[in-house]
Amino acid sequence: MRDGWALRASDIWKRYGLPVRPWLRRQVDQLRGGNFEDRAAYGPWALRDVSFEVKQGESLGIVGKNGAGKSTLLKLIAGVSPATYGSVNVNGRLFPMIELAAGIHRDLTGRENIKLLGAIMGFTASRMEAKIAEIEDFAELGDWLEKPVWQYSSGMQARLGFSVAVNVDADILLIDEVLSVGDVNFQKKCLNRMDELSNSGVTIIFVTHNPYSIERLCERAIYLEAGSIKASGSPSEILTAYFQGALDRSTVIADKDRIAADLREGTGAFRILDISMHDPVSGREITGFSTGESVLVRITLDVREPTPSYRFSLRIVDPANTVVSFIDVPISTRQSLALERDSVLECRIDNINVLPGQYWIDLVAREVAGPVIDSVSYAYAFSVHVSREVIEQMEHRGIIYLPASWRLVEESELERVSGN
Amino acid sequence: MSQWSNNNPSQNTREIWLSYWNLLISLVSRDVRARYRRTVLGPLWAIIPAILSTVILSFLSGLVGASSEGMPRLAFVMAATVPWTFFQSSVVRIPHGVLANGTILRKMPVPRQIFPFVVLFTTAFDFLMSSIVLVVVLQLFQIPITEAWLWLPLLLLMTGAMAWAVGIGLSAFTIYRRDILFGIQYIMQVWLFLTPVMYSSRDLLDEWPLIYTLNPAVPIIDGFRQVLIFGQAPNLGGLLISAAFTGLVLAVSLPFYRFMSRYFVDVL
Repeated sequence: MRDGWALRASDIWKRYGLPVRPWLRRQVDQLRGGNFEDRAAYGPWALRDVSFEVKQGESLGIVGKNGAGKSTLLKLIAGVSPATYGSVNVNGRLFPMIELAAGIHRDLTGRENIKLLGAIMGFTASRMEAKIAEIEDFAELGDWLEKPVWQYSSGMQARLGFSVAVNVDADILLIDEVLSVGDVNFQKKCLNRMDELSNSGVTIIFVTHNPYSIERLCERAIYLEAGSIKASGSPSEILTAYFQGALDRSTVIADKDRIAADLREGTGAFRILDISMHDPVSGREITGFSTGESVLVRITLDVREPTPSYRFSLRIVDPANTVVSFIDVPISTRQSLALERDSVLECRIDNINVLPGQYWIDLVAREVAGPVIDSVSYAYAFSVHVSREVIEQMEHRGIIYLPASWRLVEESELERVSGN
Repeated sequence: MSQWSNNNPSQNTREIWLSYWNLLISLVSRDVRARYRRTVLGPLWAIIPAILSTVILSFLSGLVGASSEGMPRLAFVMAATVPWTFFQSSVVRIPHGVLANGTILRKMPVPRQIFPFVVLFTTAFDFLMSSIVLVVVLQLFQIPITEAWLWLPLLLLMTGAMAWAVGIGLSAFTIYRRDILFGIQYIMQVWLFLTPVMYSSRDLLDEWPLIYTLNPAVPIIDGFRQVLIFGQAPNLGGLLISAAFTGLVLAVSLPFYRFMSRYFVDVL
């Protein structure tokens, strides 16, 4: 049975809530002779016209940003919520690994909860009896199994839920970024178990907002945006599509007129009015570029008082607020940047080696003695997308792209060193 | 097998029913065990409500000078209070049962019809525990056990069925709007006063014959008293009316519940 389909979603539309009111509206429109065939009018739609098929043994990733409809799709596949139009067909035993702690009762002991979770997952009593030793073993909770769950740490609770979930026999697993549970060792154990299941022919549907994780786990992926499938294909194709989506949404300083700028903190000897990024060759304004390219950052300053010497820094942060880099004006350059009248400050960054994603620029200007002149947080958003050569080496995740190459060391080289 | 959806070729019917049964038993056992685990009196709380209600209602009954048809008042009132408590707490708790299991509903497509039964079984457990106390009280007042007691299973079944029929209707509505959760206990209180629990059914028949005829709880609750206190068969004609009422309610509430239960996760 390994060559057939495991899951088929055909033309699914999903609108939350009871269908009564939209149905009434539709009847009224129909009486008026309106365009009642236009489904889009009877929203809001969480999913629109989503269709895809998953083959048996395949692993499919579903990526999308918050609110793209991932969780809704998950609920429909899991069968806990009905599709408004269209259908989801499942061929085999599907097990949703979502909200793993759901169903755990805090006043019961760990062992009692394992049996309860098993029952919720649809085990018969005799099957549960056969599984329980394996589950208890996997959970590594020891004597804690006899204690009520309200005494557990959150990591222990997650372990309890996960242990039951991964020891279930299923043909199709639905996974919702649940792997961030417990300590590092337990996470590793969970990942190994997932690989084991995947290799044994289990179909895996993996939902995530982190596009990199689909590369590790999936053969194929679909990219959801605003409830529709924006792209579907290999994980690397989806990555490209994902970051192209991020590209169009660059924002610039909110309060850039002079009056609004004066409301910011700082002495106000000068104010930052605008910031933009430019291609160093053509000088054209850009909002995104590929890993490894160079860029000019231009900062428009409204100068109120002549400022012969000041400290200026540009900070690049990622969405998790990790500072990727501080770029300060070096002391040696300060004199040449003395401000007399309204000016445009330019910073050339060569070879930006950050990996694809969205980043922010913060700006801070201080007097040499210390007090802040002006500062703007999240002054500018830009996106870095993937270039071909980077994607080939993209097994490494993180923030920074380090060009690297690999080879085997010749035996003669080793001898030369040790024979020294 | 680990999945509830119905298009699963590898499951046979017997296995599915065993899974249902295991889920039902596990949830009932969870509720019975966990409910009182962090209390001082523990499982005694299964019988305390019925005992307290009996004491209060007997006191009220004596206060207003209601007839107990020449029988000891405490036993007379308790014989109706214990089944009434089962009925009332089932109706009140069934809507809560669905809400309390929202997290499970959001995760697994478990059969939604199971939650009212979980409540029913849990309250039935309390009923059985209280019944033991009732039997002891009857013995104290030297009221004999007769063959009329064979009617009890039927009466219990009818109480449960009526509570279930009413309860699922209320819980379907509760999914849509929560008013029932707040109003239901007052409705049940009024229903209690319209039912011969703290007074005799003869008084009700004499004073308000219309309520005696129209209140579908009367034949069942009074039936318990006839069997337990007087050793007589219940009023069969009345029981038929009760059964018809249950059937009628069910004809509306079951399809309603089934329809609404598909959308539990959307609106919970």
